[in-house]
Amino acid sequence: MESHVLHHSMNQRSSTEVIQMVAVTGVIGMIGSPLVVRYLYILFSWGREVPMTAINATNLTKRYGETIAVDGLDLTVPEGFVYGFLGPNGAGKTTTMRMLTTLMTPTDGTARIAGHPITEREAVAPHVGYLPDVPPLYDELTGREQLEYAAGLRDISDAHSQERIGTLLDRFDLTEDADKRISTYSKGMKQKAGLIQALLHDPEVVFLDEPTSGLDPRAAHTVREMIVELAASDATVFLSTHILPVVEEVADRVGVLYDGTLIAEGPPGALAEQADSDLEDIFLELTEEREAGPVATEGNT
Amino acid sequence: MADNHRTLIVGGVLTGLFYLFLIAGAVRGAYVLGTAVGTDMFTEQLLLARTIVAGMAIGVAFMVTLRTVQEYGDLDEPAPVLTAIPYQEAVWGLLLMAYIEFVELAVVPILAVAVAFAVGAGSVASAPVITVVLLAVVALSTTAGFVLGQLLMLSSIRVAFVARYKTLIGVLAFVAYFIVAATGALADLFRVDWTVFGATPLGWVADLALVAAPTPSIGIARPAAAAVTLLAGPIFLTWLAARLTGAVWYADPVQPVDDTDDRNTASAVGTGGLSSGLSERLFGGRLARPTLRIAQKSWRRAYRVPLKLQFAMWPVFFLIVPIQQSIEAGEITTLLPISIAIYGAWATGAAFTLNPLGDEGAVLPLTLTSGIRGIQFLRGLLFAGIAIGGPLTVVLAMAVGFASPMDVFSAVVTGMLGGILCVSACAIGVGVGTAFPKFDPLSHNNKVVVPGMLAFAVYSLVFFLVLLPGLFGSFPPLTQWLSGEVDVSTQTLTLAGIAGTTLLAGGAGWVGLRAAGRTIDDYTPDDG
Repeated sequence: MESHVLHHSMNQRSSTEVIQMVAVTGVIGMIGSPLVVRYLYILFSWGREVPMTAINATNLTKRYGETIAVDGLDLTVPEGFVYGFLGPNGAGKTTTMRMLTTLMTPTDGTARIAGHPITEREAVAPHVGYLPDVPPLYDELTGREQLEYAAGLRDISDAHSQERIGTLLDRFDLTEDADKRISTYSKGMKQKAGLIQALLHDPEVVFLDEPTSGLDPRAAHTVREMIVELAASDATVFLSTHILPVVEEVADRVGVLYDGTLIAEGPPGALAEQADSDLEDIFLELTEEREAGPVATEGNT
Repeated sequence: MADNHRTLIVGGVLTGLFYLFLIAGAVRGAYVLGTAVGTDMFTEQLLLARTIVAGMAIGVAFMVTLRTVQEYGDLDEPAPVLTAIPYQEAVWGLLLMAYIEFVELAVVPILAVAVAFAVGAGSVASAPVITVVLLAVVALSTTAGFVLGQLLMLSSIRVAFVARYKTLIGVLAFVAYFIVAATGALADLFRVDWTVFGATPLGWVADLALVAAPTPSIGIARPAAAAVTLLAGPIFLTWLAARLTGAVWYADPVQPVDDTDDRNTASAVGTGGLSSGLSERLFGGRLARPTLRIAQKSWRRAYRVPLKLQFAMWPVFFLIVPIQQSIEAGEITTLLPISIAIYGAWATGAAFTLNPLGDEGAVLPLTLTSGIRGIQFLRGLLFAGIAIGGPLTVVLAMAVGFASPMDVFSAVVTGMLGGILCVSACAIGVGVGTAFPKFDPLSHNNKVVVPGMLAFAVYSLVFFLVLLPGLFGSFPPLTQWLSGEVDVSTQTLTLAGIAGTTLLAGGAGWVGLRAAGRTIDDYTPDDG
């Protein structure tokens, strides 16, 4: 019946009129649809938590004279994500982390951490926890003194810091050694103390440079668990490591940096699927291809 | 970047001036000695030359000893080096590094002295001979200092008593040295030493250096003995240095039992932590937490590595003359209270503030990303110095002032001056220390980094400029002289002086603190 009516009405109009109507409707539809979709999205997401971008870098570049350490890096890491940052030695991973943690000034480009530009250290600092490749600890202090010092620097109340320090020391099996001088600590113990220090203030974005370096399997397992827990609590973890199974296990997204350029990015599963292989093979393949010459291979850039 | 250049230029100019001053003195002395060749004066001058050469050798050895304890005695990266080469070769490398560092400093003065003597004596051959001999003396001193440094290190590692009480032993040794120096015994001791060294091959090195001079005063036996010493000494000492260093590196250390290292109480939360000490009871809740924690951290590090405070000890020699005078006079002289006020402030400023950035070492990323403002970080360092040095200086200066013939007004003013200077000295210290930081060459170093000599020198210079008006108003001989010159009462001068110093102290302190705060706020360690 309806088709008959339509057919009838069309019969009453000239073909030119029909073409004009379709064209106008199409144009309006093309312009209108996204607006409608956006409108509906806003309507339905009203009052809900909208996923935030924890790390957002645009054209982030670092040059040392003629040498380019990081070359126009574009990066977006949503809140609650674990981002595995891979790359061979000297690829620019630490430089990127140093820029994102305000310890280095980019030559070009911008970045925001938890919505704050990296040029504003004071605004960025409360949101960030950072474990550099060398744990920032004073040799002359004991582990507990060091952690109390770090908590004090951030003006965390004594009661809260004592509780948090106690919990984290227990978690990392460091309680028994907490009152020994850091100069007597092994590499793994220093790493644990550095990690606890980075997490003391419940940061929203955690930058970890080789966090499992020097750790025994048990401690490394605790670190992996901790990373997963952090992500579950909506914290974002930016994880640089050479230990690919760690990334494969915990990362939501992986970025491969080579010579300062992000050459591949995507979920670890997708990257592995694409090459019908695991992350280690992907990493080797990508970096070897780069060694051989420039390629356009990208996971999901 | 431009600031860094300016800092380097200022530092370079100041160091250069100091260096030139030293060279000028040495050149003049050498020329005078040269002109004395062939005259009756020469024998007397030669004795003096022996003393100077022996003094130089001992001085270099002493500095190398200190530097060995601090730096030379250890490898930056022991594992890769000691697994690649025999440890003896590594020790030779360290000795060579130490030698080159001192030769770099000494080569210009040595050449200048050699040429000056050669010109004075009219003996061209003397120039190369003196140069070679003096360079050999530096080698002897370097190896001797290195051996002494490693002996100290070994005893602190292997002897349980020394390991346990090394801080106390260091303090007692310093106090003993100070007492000896202050009571005049040092001068006697040195005179004995000079006589002894003058009559040994170390003193005869001067004879060897001058062997080319046309004078019969230089015999054969003494230069020959000196030559043997200069040749055999470094070889034997190098062998000994390698043996001792091997013992330091490979011997099992005696673990010190530390009050914060009590394993039995380790499980108790808070035990031995920063938040459980006397400072927490005194200042906790009254002071901003970050400020207090920074101060507590500074105190603990200094207590455990007293070497960190070496620049606070250096100015103590400023007290020797006034104490000596008081002892000789049998009563406290008016010079002593003001000297205490000046020393107290000078040391207070030098104790914790002279290397705010460099002393952070590998911890700098934590400090900078903690969100703490530069000025607040510096407040912690200032408090670390002022909380201890301030009350001590004020109370001591006033008490000694009351006990001296000084009137009550002057004694109170002296104490106040000390207090004001303590605050200002710390603020000047952070300003200078931030402008002239000393970083450990190893970026991953977590140990204490002692401030640079340049920072201490510039700090001392600024401190004394600030002090000048107060000194004219509070130092009795100067005040009385000025009072007579300008016909103003000494009390007015005292007040004017303290006002002037207060003004300068406030200004310099404010500038220093502000500049340092800004530097830290904007500091990006990885940008170089």
